[in-house]
Amino acid sequence: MLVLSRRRGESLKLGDDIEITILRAATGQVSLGIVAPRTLPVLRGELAAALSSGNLAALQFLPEKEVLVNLGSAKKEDLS
Amino acid sequence: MSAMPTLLTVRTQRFGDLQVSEEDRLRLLRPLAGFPETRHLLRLVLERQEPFVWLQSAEEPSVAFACAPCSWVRPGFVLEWPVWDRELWGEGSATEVLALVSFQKGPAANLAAPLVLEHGNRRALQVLNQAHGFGFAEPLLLQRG
Repeated sequence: MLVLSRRRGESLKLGDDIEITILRAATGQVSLGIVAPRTLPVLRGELAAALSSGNLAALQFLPEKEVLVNLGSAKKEDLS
Repeated sequence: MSAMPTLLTVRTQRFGDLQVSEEDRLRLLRPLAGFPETRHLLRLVLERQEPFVWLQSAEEPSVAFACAPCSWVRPGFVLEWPVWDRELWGEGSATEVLALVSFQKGPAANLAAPLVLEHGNRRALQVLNQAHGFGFAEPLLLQRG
């Protein structure tokens, strides 16, 4: 991991398109300003991790055919 | 006389070898988080399993997701797009919005990050839903007391 020190008002450039500016630094918290292409997702780390683990969870314990058939019937009862 | 479509063989762990045409593949506009190798998905509907559908990776034989329509999982489901997904998607309406279904702790659907499909343009995108109240593992069945 690259470690850099920056002061309030200073920034970092990631490639040509992304700039991160330190807006405020208080005890235990930093506020960042981010300029990035509009198609680039900018996510808090914990949300990105939840996205990955949600996808990975869907690959575990894949159901057999009858499980889905029965689940479809149970859901139909739920909705009726 | 129209040319016959070229068939591709897609190896899958769950469904065996599948013969598909180029047109059967949905192109992912962005790889799914956690699955950087998967660039295309095959939408498979199996007998008696509807409304569940399977999305099989065209590149990774072991990757296949059971999915369900979000509005079937939660009538009243709402999808609000973040700006980056809306920009990437551009024009064109979604044909189908599917939730990945997991079975870790009882059947649950991911309504926080559904897959949006447009069949006409053969493309797909996982969208991070900005609407409140839709989580990564919403119980698929009503909780009964």
